[in-house]
Amino acid sequence: MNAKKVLIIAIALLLTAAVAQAQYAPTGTSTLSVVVGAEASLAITTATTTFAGPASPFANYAGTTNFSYKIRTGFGAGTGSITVKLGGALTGTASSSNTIALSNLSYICTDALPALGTGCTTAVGASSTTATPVATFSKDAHSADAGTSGNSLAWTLVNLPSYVQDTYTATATFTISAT
Amino acid sequence: MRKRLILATLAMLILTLPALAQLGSGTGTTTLNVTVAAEAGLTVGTGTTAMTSTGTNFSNYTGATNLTYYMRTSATGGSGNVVLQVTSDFLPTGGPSVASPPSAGDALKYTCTVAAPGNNGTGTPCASPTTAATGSATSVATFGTDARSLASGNSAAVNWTLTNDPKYKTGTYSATVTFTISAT
Repeated sequence: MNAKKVLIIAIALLLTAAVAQAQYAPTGTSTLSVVVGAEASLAITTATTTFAGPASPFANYAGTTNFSYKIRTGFGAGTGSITVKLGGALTGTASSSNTIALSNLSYICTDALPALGTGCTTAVGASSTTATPVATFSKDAHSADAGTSGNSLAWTLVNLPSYVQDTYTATATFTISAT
Repeated sequence: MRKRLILATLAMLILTLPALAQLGSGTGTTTLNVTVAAEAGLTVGTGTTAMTSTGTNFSNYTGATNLTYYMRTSATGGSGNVVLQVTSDFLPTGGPSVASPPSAGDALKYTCTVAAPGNNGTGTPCASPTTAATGSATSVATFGTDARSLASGNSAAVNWTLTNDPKYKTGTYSATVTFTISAT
């Protein structure tokens, strides 16, 4: 048998052995690897926010939207936010030509920890062109596993005699994000 | 082998499902709903309406009470009104009286002015003159459908005339007039 044949046979035997050792052994391991990233979600618990009638003639209308959130922000330099944006002016249901400008609508937020207490502690004007602040989060913020409740937006609508008598609606979209 | 493959696949599915249920959504919506109804309010600008007589020949006493009204009536079939009633007759006794005037023909009467609602609609003043009463409310102004005042209100006024009867004893006499506004 020449040297070349011996070499080939040896290599074949080695490869076979290597494969056999990889597949069959009393124990084996695998490394589990998961990337836990920044993440956020929310749930609006008040599907329809109904404004209460004024307590006295032409006192402001008021309504409250409640929501819960889940959030995890980045450990090193993360942030998070919740914003709200209106779909458009309040529009009458009896007649779509009846509208109430959003300049008459504002809100104040109540945000539960881990939200920072600077979301919107003073009245914020509602907008359909800009997403306005509801809550902010710093780095390494973690909500409760089941979601953090106890958050709300207290809306105020100025009650002007110029509004035509009607029932008005508008859609407010909340967005949460985390880095 | 096939059985192991099926079991592995099922295990992966079971591990995946709970994660999906917990994630929620990055956005959510609420519908804002507000009912704007008929509504009305007023302020009486003249807390004390002084009534005076000019000259010395028993010309009638006159005075004016100014009002500011805030009004929104229904867009269809709506209406509103302002009324007044003498809820407390002149006191002390011995002078004028709305309910029991000392002489036939003695009366507290008034005329009205009302500015049109500043944002829409009409306002109609009372018939002139109207005799005030203690037993019932009498009209100051009426408003039509979809009447809407300014946010700062619109003005109205009641101009009073009280018979100057020589039978009145000298003194200072006061009565209370209550204004009421309503809208449907």
